[in-house]
Parts: sequence; C-alpha cells; structure tokens
Amino acid sequence: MKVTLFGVEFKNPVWVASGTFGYGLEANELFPVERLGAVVTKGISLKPREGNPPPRIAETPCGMLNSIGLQNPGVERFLNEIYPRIESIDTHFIANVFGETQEEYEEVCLALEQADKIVAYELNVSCPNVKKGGIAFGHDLTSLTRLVEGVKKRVKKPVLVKLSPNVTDPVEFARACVESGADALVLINTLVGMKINVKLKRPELATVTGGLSGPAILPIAVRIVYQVYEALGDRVPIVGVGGISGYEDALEHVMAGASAVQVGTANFFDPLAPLKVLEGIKGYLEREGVEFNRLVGIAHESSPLR
Amino acid sequence: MIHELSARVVKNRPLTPRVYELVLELPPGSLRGVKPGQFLMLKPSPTFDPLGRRAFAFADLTESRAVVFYEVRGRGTKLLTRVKEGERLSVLLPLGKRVFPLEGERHLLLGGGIGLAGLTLLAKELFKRGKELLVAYGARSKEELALLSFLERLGVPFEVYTEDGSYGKRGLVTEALKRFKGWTVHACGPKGMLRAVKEATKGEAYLSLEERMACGYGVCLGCAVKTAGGYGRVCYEGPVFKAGEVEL
Repeated sequence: MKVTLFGVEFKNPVWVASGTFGYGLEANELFPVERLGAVVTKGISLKPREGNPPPRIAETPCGMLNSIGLQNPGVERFLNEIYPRIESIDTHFIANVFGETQEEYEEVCLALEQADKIVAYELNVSCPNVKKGGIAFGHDLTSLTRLVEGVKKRVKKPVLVKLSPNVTDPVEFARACVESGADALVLINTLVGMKINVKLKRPELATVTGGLSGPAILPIAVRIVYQVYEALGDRVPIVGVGGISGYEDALEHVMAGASAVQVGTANFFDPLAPLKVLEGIKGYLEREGVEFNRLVGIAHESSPLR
Repeated sequence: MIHELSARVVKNRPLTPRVYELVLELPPGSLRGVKPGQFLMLKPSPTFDPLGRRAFAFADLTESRAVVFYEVRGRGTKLLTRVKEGERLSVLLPLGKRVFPLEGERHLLLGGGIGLAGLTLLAKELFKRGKELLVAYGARSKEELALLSFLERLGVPFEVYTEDGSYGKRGLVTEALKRFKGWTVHACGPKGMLRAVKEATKGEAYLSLEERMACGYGVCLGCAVKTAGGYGRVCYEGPVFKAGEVEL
C-alpha cells in the first residue's frame, strides 16, 4: 500500500500523530514500529520545554482533553540522545516542529536538515496549550504566510503545516499555506475545550482549557478535510488526523480527501490501533477491489445519501 | 515486552460498598516476570465512553491469575463493578519501569487505604526471600479495612491502624515509622500520607505514585510528576520514586 507524497515514498499511508507516540521508542515494546508508514514525533522546540503542571489530562465523553504544553528536551538533546536510537527503526520519521518565534521554527528545522531519518517537517502552528508561538501563527494569516515562506526558503526537506480547527474558516488558512509553498497540509490539531469538576466546583486542568481529541472530534476533522480538499485538493496532499481509532474512521478521512492518515489518541486507549487501521484498510481494498489512491477524495464525486 | 491481552474475569465482588476484588485469568506465562510495583491498565468498557483505560497495581499473582483491588471513584470504576464473572476485559501489561527495591534486610511497608494493594506483592516477594518485614495497614475506621482478610491470608507480619481506633492501633499508619528506624520504607496511599512519609523519612522512602494516566506506557505525558530534572512520567520513570526526588 505504498504512497508517494511530496516526493517521499512511504510504505503505507497509516502514520501516528505527534504527541501520541513519543519519538517511537516506547511503542516498540508493544509492536514493531517499522510497520507504520511514518512516525510523527512529539513536538520539538529549539530550547527544552518543561511542559505544563498536572493535572494535564481529563476524560470527556468519547474523548479527552490534554494540556501537556509541548514538554520536550529541545532539538539539541533530541539529536544527541534520541535520534541515534530511532535511526535503526525502519520507517520514516517526520519531525513536528514548534517555535515561539519564526526564527525558532527555522532554527529547529535547520538543525534537523542533516538528520536523514527525518524526511519532512510538520510545522505545529496549532497547539492550543502554550502561551507563546504556535497558535499565534496558526490563527493569523499574515504571520502564517511569513512563517511558511520563511521556513521554505531555508530548508530542503518538505514542509507540512498542521492546522488548527479553532478558526472560522480553515480553508483560508490552508490556502495561505499552499500559496506560501507548503508541501502538504495536516488536518487537524485538537479543539479547545474545558471540563469542570462539579464536586470541587473548579476546572479539571491546571491550565483551565486543553485540547480535545479522540473519537468525539472525528466528524469535525472529516468536515475540515472535505472542505479543504474541495478548495485545494488539486494543489497539495492532505494528511488527515482527528478521531481515528478504526479503519472506517481512517477511510472517512481518505474519502474526504486525505492521502494519508495519522492515528492519535487511539494510541492511548488501544495501542495496537494503528496496525488494526492498516490491516482494516487492506481488507477493505481487497473486498472492494479498489486501489487506495482511487479512494482519495472519492466522496466528492457523488451526491450525498438520500 | 508489553502485551495487550484479553483477560477472563474469574471474580469481581465487593469487599465493602466501595472496594472490589477483581481476579483476572490470563494466558499462561503472560504474568511471568511481573515485578512488585508494576501495574496493569484495563478498559472498564469496550466502548468509547469512557474512553480510557484505568491503572491498577498487581496485588497478587499466580501463574495465570492477577488479583486487583479497586475503589469505586468515578464512571470507569463504577462500570467495572458491573462486569460479570466469565466476561472478558482488555488489559495492557506489565507497565511501569522503576519498581520497588528488594535490597536491604529490613523493610517497612506502609499502605494507606486501597494503597495497600500496591504493596502486597512486594510483601510476598520480600517474605519469600527471607527478609525481615512488617506491613502497616491504615484506614479511617474498621469498616474501611477492606483488604484486612486478604492481608491476613497473605501470611506476612502486619499491624493495623485506624484513625478512630475502632480496630488495631489508634492513629495514622505513619506512626509505625517511629518504631522502625533504619528500615527500608515503601509506601503507597493518598498524597497527604505520602507527604508525611517523605518528611518523616527525610526523603529516603520509596513511594508508589498515582496520577491521571491515559496510555500507561510513556507516550501521552499525562501522568507528570515534578522531579529535580523536570517532569517525569509516573508510568515510565516510575511508578516507584525515591521520596526525595519528587514534589508531592
């Protein structure tokens, strides 16, 4: 089920989402990570980030809120301590890159240019849980345009942009990325939400709000993938992420317009979910006698059920 | 390796209105190598609501059976009480990288409430190795000593504390610390108790910590505990920490 996107050949279109899989090392104890099409790393910043105080997570109906705050050791320690350990894992890695300023995004990408295992960058402009950077770019067309143009000018590897669903019209932001030279769009990051502990009469998360993920957000992700594909599907590939826990969820993303998918929160409650999604898609293709690529955006071709 | 397995529920019955004993039958050999301090995560319901797994200590083990005690605290554990014998649950195990140390000749184990379940496997192991040990089990009152008969059956030396004096010695389980100076201390229980143990032992005790946890194997970074070197993961750098290393 090989797919070639932005000039890179992936062994399959089932990847794992940033922030739900560490750097791929822990899950290797559960299954051979090399079976995945790609691993998108936990967000990497220029300087180490301590992350937010606990409680960092809370369960919600068919979903969960998180506010980790991009805890990570920084790009230097990533390269020295973690990178040598992922080099032997036989699949592609995509670095999720975060910065508080445009320069920081550029510095992190440049530091990773020589790391061959990293085949592309996923710019995180949509994390709702940090005070500076990230969403400041993802919610402002001018800074987003400048960021994508700036990074594209300085790096050789493909640049993906992971967009926020917390905007009125995600298509505007997707278009700005494409016109600034982005090689692919990753849709979507988490939705801002909150939960209140009724017994204690106060918010459940230390940061009050957090990012909602899990099966609850599947229809929102599918809607945004569909809208962006409708507007820009002929320009760049879309990577679908949000609410995928089974192969049918993944196929909804694909039929809406995604050329690859990322399994995220399902990794927490069902660690073998990415493999189940992969096998499920294979089975579907066999039963239907159809090629994977033929399914991308296919829901746009016919009228809705009546 | 960590395994996701289907466990058959052999027993799921209340010991008190709030505390249940759950016995799981697992494929032969899957519990081999489980160490005192490690835990499992199980999904109380196969549906998406509630979404997550819940973490429980291995309170006891046989070749193919794991014993878990749980307190009904929220929706997940409430649903778990409805699971019938013969039904199956998805479990993830064994989890936790840092476990209780078995070195040293004399060990004091302090269990507060349901926290005792995090120490009983350790007690068995220390006893088997011929170490001198004492388990101190504390609860608010006699009615809340849900694990008393389990502790009695375990066959290790123990004493009991109740806050109201309705059973055993009157007072907090941390009282025992005064009489066993120089022993290796292990503790599991509510945060307030762990803080007291940390202070009384000047950070020397080994604490099994609890924190909200989504994955249990190190990828979600949800179960953060503050250490000198930044936030650690309870599920991965722990769940056992030297008291002096963590902020409680």
